[in-house]
Amino acid sequence: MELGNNTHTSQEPVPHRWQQLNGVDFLQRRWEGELVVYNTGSGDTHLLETLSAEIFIHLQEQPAGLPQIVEHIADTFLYEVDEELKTHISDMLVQLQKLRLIESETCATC
Amino acid sequence: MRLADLSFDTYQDRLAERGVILQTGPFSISVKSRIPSVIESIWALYRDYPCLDNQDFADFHIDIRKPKGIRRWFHPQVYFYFDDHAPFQPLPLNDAYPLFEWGMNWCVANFAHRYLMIHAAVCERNGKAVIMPAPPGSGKSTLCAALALRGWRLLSDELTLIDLQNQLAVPVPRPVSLKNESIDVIKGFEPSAYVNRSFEDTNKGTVAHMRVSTESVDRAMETAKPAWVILPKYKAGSSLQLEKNSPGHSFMWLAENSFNYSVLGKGGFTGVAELVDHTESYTFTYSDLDEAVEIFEQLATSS
Amino acid sequence: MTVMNDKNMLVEMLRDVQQASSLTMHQWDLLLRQARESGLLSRLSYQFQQNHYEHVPEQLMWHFESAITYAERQRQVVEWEVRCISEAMASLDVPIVLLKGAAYVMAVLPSARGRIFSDIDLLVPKQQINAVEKSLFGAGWVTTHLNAYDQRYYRQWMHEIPPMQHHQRRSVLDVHHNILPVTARANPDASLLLSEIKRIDENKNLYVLSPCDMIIHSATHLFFDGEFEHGLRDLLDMHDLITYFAGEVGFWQQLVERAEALTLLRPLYYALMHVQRLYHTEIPANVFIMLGKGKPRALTGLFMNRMFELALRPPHSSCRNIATASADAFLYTRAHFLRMPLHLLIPHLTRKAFRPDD
Repeated sequence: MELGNNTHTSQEPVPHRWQQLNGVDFLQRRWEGELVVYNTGSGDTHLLETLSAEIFIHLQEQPAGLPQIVEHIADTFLYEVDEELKTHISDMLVQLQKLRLIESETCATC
Repeated sequence: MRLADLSFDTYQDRLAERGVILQTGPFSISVKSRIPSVIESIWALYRDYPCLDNQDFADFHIDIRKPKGIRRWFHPQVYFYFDDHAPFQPLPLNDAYPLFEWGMNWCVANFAHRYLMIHAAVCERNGKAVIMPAPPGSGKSTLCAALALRGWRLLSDELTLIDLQNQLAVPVPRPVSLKNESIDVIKGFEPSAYVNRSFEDTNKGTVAHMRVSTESVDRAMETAKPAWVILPKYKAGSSLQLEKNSPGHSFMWLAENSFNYSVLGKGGFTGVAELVDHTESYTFTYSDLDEAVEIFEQLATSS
Repeated sequence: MTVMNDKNMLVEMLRDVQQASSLTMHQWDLLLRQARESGLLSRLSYQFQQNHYEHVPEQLMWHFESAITYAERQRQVVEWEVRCISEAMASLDVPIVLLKGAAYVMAVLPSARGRIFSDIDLLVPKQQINAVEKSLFGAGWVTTHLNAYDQRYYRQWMHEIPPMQHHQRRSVLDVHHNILPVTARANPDASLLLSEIKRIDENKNLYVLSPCDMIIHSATHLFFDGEFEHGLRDLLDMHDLITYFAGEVGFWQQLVERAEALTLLRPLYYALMHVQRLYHTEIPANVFIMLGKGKPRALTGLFMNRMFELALRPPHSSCRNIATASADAFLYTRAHFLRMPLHLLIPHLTRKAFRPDD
């Protein structure tokens, strides 16, 4: 691994649309603020709580970009839409992607 | 016919030659051994178990035997044979009987995928079962032994089997394995309990096995409906605490403590989900065994 | 119906599960154990299931249901691994050729039913193997056998790189650039194999060998490798493949010609002899004539066939005796010789004996 200076190039963020992982079925159960999800492809099981659970369920219904997701979460939990919320949700989306629950695609018309 | 109905000599001869077939819950086990500690321990701990005298079939074929060659006498070892091969490295000869018990657990956990199998103790009272999943050292076996000695029916101290078709707990009653301090604790708790000799210096410390009640063995074909999932935590000097667990966390605990959750795939997910839906889950911290048993008694009589 | 004894019972049941009606409980007991040791319990279980478990005693049912559950899990694992492999290599322009069990599962072939396997085998072009290794590494697979000797063994002499294991999922990949080692007596041309591969997924770079090549590979794998523990299973794979593909026009002609082009007539000959003997596979008589120069000299043939016959009994004590043990030992030594010439063989074997277990 090379060590180098951290360079920070500012770029236009590429528009992303998020959706449930393609090509696999999920089994799930919901209890109040909790959701357990079984990925029938990978065989992995995950416990999602409150925010992440709501994000995943929302994306199961239809694909959405970050702004729409933030709006939906703000509406559902009566949060203020601010930078902190956007960052938090953005991080969660990355986590959910790592867990192979959702995937993103670049989308010119998002 | 029970094992005790055989004469000791007949039993010993059979164990050495063609094997003795014992029924433990749904599984018939053919056992062979010529090792004295194994011969004596099985005779003492399995006396009430059905002995299938002229049966030509057994679910598992086990042989506990010494190796050929130098390790037969020099730092003697013992192997657990499952049919034709030995799935584990050998242990010191001293550990022969504990090896037999661990090996029997391995057989069930590895092959019985008709059931959702959880590494947990399960006991029944008034028709309802309590499942106690817990990693080693949580006091699960001690608690399980204590309950069994206070009128609870023992289904198993290690293997909770849930029939995927009807969600019921299936008994596999076998001697309760006690470790280190809990051996004396149980002897003090109930002096009339039969606890077999201790085996020292095993890789789990000192191990001894408590015989289960004749009633538990006789009712081995009776299933039970799970009502509670309780995670015991023994903590010296602590006060009694019963905290409810959320369904989601209960689910993950059960899945993580299951032997075959992954193997079962969708069936495993559904099985655990159903179990969570039909049970209440608690984390139970305790330091006094009598108090603990009392709480369980209250649970059993309340709902 | 054949008269069943302890030694032929497993094969007979695999050929025709209706024969289960004549089994005694003692035989059921042995059958279960033999099937398990041979890696064929799941396969046998599927066959019983297809036959609605007719003649299967109630107390044995759970063994078969359980074996099916296990095989289903294996299938799930393979499908996911192949997906991950394909994603890892998406940016490379490399055909990913699945071999053996993984191929049968992904191509949905009859041999996939009840297949149990430990590793996933891939074939890629030799000149791209380094790029493949890098991509797999980037996706989490790590090379095993880290000592210098083993690394050289694989890369210099064998037809594969050292197995790669995924650091998280623990799956193991065997990446080959040929189906036999560089040092072996027969040297099939890998580019011939690659020229006939069949695509199995329009969106991904996934392929399998052509039907003839799959059969020839199965034959080669069995008869060049020293280990016959899975002999019955490998021959059953062949039986399934032949039965599935033999209906196509010109199939047998093509099979023999292909084996000749790949210099693998001899293993094909042995394989066809034994698959017919054991599983009664329908092989037209003239095929053995077509095999012509692939056949061994008469005495060699008799001896070798006897050795194989013994080695191909179920690897369970109920079927084994001194004769089978000698056959095993002979064939193991022979196989090593076929894969590596003697002067390379002896240093290798000795080293293995003196190194502590990994």
